[in-house]
Amino acid sequence: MSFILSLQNISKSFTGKQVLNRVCLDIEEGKFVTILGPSGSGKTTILKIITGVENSDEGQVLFKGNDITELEPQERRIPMVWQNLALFPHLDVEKNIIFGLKLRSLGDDEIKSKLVTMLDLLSISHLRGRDIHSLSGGERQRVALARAIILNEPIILLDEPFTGLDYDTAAKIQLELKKVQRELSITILMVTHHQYEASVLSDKIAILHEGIIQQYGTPQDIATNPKNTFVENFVKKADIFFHPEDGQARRRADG
Amino acid sequence: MHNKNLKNIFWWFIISVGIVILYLPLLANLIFSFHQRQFISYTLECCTFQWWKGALADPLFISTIFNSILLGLLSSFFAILIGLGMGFFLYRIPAVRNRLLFFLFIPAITPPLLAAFIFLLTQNFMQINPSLLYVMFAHVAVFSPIVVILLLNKFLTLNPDLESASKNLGASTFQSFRSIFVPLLFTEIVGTFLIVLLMSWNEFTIVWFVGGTQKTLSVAIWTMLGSQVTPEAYAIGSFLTIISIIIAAIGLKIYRIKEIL
Repeated sequence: MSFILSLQNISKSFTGKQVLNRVCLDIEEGKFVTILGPSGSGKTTILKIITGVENSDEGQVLFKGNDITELEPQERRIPMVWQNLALFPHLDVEKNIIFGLKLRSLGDDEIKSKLVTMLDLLSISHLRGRDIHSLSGGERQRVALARAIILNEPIILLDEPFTGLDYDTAAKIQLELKKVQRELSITILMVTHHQYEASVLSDKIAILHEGIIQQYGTPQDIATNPKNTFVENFVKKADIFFHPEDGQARRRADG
Repeated sequence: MHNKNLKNIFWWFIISVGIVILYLPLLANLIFSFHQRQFISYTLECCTFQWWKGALADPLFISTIFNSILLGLLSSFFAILIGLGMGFFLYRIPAVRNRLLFFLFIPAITPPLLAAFIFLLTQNFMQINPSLLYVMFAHVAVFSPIVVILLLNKFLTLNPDLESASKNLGASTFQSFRSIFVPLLFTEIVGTFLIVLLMSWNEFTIVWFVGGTQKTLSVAIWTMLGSQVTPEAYAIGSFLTIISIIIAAIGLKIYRIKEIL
């Protein structure tokens, strides 16, 4: 089985407090994987270590089998959608989306054609020249997704991507995300504290608590065979875990 | 109702007195630059442009203006360059920022006379010839921390993930700085440039102590006041004030434009 991304014994402490403790995780190509855990469990730190924004104290990050632990963030080519989106406020929608492409020295025609495809794919063609400040939460979310997906990398990372969105908007974007993932065959690694989102979207879920992966498996595995009481109590909060076959939300996300 | 009117009158009176105290000396300075006689009296004898013409034809005056402009522009440019770089560095490294921030305030609160004396001692110790170049160095040293404080204040209002996001998309640290932070801080950079330009343009003590024979406009006025005060000194003083007001107005305009945007 080929793993596009592997975390091997990743540990990290901040001012003496252990945030991640020998985290190991293998992510298969083309899958939608979610790291699910309560606030402060170390989820975002994992993403930051993968992107190179944070350095781990020990352990390796392997991308397509190559050790990228020592690479600078700009050399890793693992685009991420940030929790606060981090859209560039002085650039309009189009310039935000093509920011990464411009840095890759692509020709103007190629950039334009990729941009048009991406705008169509995420149904945001009408936002092209708009100022970032004038967009709604859902529109900003789509722009942030477009900015990451347009780079055409085999994997993207999502940090709590639906925080702050109302239920309907979040559900709509979740559907689109799943559709885009299938169409482009990309791997997605998402972190969230939201059990419902994780169960609706994910092929596999890693439950993280106090910096340790408690269980890694399909939503059904976790629902039917929780490995410890923390996992059992944590997933209980989302009924969908225990009745995935009846889950309205799962059917919606699957289209 | 009656009480309210009285209160309004009281506040208008206070504001008017404040304005008169602030602006009357400046206005008097301007008015007496048109005084006809060479010796100043309390009765204005209106009006002549001869002192302005005289000042503008005076090669010393022209050279001091040139010196002031050159000094102001170069000091502001280098202070911005250093201040912006240092502000970016401190923004990115909070641990260093928290330790260094206090020390940045020291040059800003050092009395000008003491600062000038320190630069004079350094000049003598290092056997540097008095020159505008050394004055510029002193201005950059004094004003850079102020630039850091002003720009850091803006840096800290920005989304803390902007740099990480740009690097994640493939930008180097310099590319992030150039394509994200410089445009985002552009109005603050221009505004701070003008503030430093204004401070350098009006600065007297350091130029007087370490500038040697190379004078700026403020030192030229001081020299004139030391001998006989003629309306020409008022004309030069008014010129200095008008330029200062123009620079301040442009700075304010830039900030207002940003507010509207």
